[in-house]
Amino acid sequence: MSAIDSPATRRRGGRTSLMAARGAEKTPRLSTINYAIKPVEAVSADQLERIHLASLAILREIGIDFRDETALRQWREVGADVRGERVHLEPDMIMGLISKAPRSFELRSRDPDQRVTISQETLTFGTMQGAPNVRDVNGVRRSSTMEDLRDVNRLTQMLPGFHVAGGFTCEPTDIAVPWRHLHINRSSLVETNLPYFGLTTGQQRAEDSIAMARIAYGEEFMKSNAVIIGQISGNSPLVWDATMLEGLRVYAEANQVVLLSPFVLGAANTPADVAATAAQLNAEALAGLAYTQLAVPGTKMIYGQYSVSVSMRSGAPMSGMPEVSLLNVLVGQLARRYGIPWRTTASQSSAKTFDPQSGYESAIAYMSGATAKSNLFLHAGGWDEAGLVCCLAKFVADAEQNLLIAKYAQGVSFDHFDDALEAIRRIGPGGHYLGDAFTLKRFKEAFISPELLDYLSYEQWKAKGSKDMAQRCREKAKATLESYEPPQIDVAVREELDAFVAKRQNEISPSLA
Amino acid sequence: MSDEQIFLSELSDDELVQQMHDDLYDGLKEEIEEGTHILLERGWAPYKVLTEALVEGMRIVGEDFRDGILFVPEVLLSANAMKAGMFILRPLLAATGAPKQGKMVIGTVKGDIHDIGKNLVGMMMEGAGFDVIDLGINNAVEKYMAALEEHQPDIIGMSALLTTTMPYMKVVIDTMKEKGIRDDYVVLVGGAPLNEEFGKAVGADAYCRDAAVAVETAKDFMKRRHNTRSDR
Ligand code: B1M
Repeated sequence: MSAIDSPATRRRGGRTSLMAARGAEKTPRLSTINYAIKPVEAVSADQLERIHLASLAILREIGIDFRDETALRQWREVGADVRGERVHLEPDMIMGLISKAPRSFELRSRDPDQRVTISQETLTFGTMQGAPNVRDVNGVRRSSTMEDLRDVNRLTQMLPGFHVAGGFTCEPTDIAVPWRHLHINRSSLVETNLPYFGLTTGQQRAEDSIAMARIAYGEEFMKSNAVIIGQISGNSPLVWDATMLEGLRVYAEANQVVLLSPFVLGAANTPADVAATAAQLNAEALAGLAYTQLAVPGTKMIYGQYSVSVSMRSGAPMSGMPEVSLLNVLVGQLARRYGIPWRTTASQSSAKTFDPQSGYESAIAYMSGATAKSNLFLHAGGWDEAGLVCCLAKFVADAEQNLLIAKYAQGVSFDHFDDALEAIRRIGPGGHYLGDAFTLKRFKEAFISPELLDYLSYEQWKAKGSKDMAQRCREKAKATLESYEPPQIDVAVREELDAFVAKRQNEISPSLA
Repeated sequence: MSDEQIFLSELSDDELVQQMHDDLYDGLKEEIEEGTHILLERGWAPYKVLTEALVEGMRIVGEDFRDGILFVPEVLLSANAMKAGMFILRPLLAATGAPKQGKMVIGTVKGDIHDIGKNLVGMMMEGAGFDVIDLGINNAVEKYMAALEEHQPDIIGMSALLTTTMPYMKVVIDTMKEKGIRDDYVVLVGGAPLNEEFGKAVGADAYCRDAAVAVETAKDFMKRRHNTRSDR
């Protein structure tokens, strides 16, 4: 064959060099994921309009409570109809305010090369938040501590499947409540270099969160760059309360991102009807989003929502349900109508162990978010027991799932279509592609090969110790923690963070009384 | 379900009580009011109406809720019917010096706005015949103390869903101790992130994992109170 290259260029170094290359192969952290799939839609354009109009009617006729003096004053100043705490909003005012929101923005990390764009065309993964318990690397469930939170942050930093650190992924219950937020923020900044969620429950905690971010990123930098997100939960039905609104203003004034999440417990704090629940949720979101733009025009914001249905046997929240999937699709359709990126709850489950229920519920939540084209997959790491536990085994499993979902979202590529068609000609009927040059060239990228899901034969699996998924994931979590490499951080910055924590601890009493 | 018309006044006492158990189960408020009046007119002591017709009926409802047969909205309907009967009986019970079913003050603690669980507990307690004073959300210790003073309840219930607000329960209990009134009340605590151990650590009388357990626990403590203090 004339086309054979000279030996000098063909030789690749055999086993030694391949082993070295495979060993060094590290899945890089996900960068911005651009959607290339078309979103599914649950309702027609007319039906969507009905929901949208119902939301506007709710806000105009029933009104919504803003339990916060500053917000009420601001609404009055722009001529909204404010009666006590109840604010009645005209559609034009709402839509006018919302149009001031940026449609796309960047989240920055301490690694200058790691930038994530949040828009309606992109997909971002963040870990779970708020667990009072962990199920640790030994599978033991217990109250979480500061060391657990640090471990979770270390995993977040090491695993390639996360763009955003959850911040308060699990609670450091061994630290006095009034001091906790300081240590949570410190860990986000020291153990990871990713954009992260700060604390929002009240003015002080929000201000401290921003102050600490400024130590790490610089005040100037943060004037024009977002690094921290504030999660602002609505109190459905139809209430935004002071604690959260104070937090919202602090983040918005610092030019950082706010995520406004109405909170659906279907049939408990919304009507027992999917379309009407969407109308209420959307009314709450619109009011919160509009208020954000009233407080600080141009604020980067995400249309949030947390949706579960409620077991009518006990009142307990249920994830992975078909009604919740439909709500996701509806919110996606609505958010696209308004041009605002939106959030889903990615990997939630109510299971008590990392078992089939956990897998089923999470898989459904993931897929319903992806097919509905959600832009921020929150809780995409660790969430079991309806948010009451952060399971480290699930955390690493979810991190891997994020890679699979990212691949799915990026849709079907035509970049290699013609070459691949050539391969069909080459092989023809019968035959196989396993040894074909095109397969050899493309196999690594074309089909993803997860590490934690098991595809061995029964005998192979037995020979490897008969480990179930949870055990494999616990081992992976352990190994990842053992190989943890802290991100680069200036000694001076670290010292300043420590000094800030010490200073604030001096100023704030650790007692709740 | 039967189509034939039932006239409560034509039933014997036993039949009427049975019917009231069914009506409570079905959450029929007016029927329970009517049945309560009829039993009183027939000379039943208010306390007998309460225990045999209403409380016993709600015990069955509670059991079927626990066993997953009845659903929350159905139980709330039953509780509402029970409340209507209680409304008639309450002044009569007080006048005849009957043993009290019990009174509870309940609220979520300072900093906590999660109230769905607390509301459920309150409604189930009312359904079991308790007098419930709901302090709402975000209660500072002063509000609890004022409520104890004003309402003189048997039980104080505190709810918290956040690990940051749970410790506040201890603030309330410690304040009760300081005032020397801790032992005058039964302190029940609940909320998803709590557990038995936490309940003990803050000095509560019991931790209640759900609404049904809250009702059972409250009833238990009321029994003990009746045994130890015949004055209340
Ligand atoms: C006698 O006395 C008694 C006896 C028994 C008692 C009792 C009192 N109280 C309860 N019981 C018991 O009986 C009830 C009935 O069987 C049971 O009550 P439960 O309340 O457990 O059960 C209810 C029937 C159903 N359960 C619920 O209603 C709670 C569900 C979850 C999802 C939840 C909800 C709904 C909400 N939330 Co929040 N929320 C979560 C919850 C996760 C979870 N799995 O619990 C939790 C508790 N929240 C959390 C967080 C973080 C927050 N929430 C917040 C806000 C909210 C909403 C307002 C949006 C909403 C509450 C709406 C409302 N009006 O109540 C914020 C805080 C607000 C505040 N200041 O309180 C915010 C801080 C989020 C934010 N940044 O915005 C987490 C706790 C974090 C922690 N480590 O402590 C959380 C575990 C979810 C998570 N993983 O993030 C028993 O516990």
